[in-house]
Amino acid sequence: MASGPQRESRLLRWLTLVLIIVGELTTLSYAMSAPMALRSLNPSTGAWWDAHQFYFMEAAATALGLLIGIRIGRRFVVGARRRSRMLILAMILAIIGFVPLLHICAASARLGWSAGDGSTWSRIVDLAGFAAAKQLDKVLIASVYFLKIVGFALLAGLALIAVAVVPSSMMEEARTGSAG
Amino acid sequence: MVILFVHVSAVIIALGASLFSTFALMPVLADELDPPERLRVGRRVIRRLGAIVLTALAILVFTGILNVLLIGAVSQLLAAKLVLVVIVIALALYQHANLGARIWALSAQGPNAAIVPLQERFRRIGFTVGLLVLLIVYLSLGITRAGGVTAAMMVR
Repeated sequence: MASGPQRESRLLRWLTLVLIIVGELTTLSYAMSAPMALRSLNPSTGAWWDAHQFYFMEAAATALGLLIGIRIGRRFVVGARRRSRMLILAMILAIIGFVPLLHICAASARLGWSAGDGSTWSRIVDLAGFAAAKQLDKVLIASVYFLKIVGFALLAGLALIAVAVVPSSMMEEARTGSAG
Repeated sequence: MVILFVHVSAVIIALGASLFSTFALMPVLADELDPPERLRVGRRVIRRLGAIVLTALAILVFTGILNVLLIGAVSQLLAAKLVLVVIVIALALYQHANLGARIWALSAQGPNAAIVPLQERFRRIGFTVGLLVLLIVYLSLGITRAGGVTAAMMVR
């Protein structure tokens, strides 16, 4: 039977994998206009997915970034029990702050990057031809947006672990006092 | 304005606390107190310092993301700054949640030879964090200056 830390690591790995899959699927669905195909099969489901896929993509990216940040930060904490306590606290904070973080990270990711997107477009047209380039460009834009949200949420995840360390160490200090 | 004020205050607190403990408090403790006393005071200072620095860094991240929204553009300078912030938080976590916690646990029974190298590493990491925060402040000045120039050009 797996021990506590092993179970935690396995759960975190599974969660990360699920979020990557959901993120990839929703990003591709959004970029390749999948709801149009879905509408021809089932109009109501297609309409519902068309209205919500973008939020699913943003939510998956934010959750993935937070989780990666928490997993990176957790590695720096010494001691299995302390690490487990901080993980739980950081996860609770992440759940509480998820909705505001989702909006803030998504809004930050929508800000323009001061690089030459025109030259990227021409390069894609050169490589794939105009018709395919139109589709590829949409995939690229959606993927970059997804990754930018993950990046901002990763920072927030690291900050959440930093926040989680504080009460834990203060409690330890209060419990053991100066004598240790 | 309030967000920027909190952001700058958090930088001052994080940097000030690190520099004060590295260059003022710890050397004075080493000169003035006997080893057992020094250890008892030092371990509590490390704990409190960790709480202050990590809280300030977390506030920095959240107000920083809000500031990005207010600046309204993502530049290469900002991207470099964000990468440095990730490194700083990782180092600060290693310093306080790993080295600090080990020093705390080892020093519970009084002086111990294993504590000295940990304290040395703790100081080195703290110094590196301080330098990186200074670099981040420099990059931030570059970002705000560039933002000012862009705004001025737009007005013209």
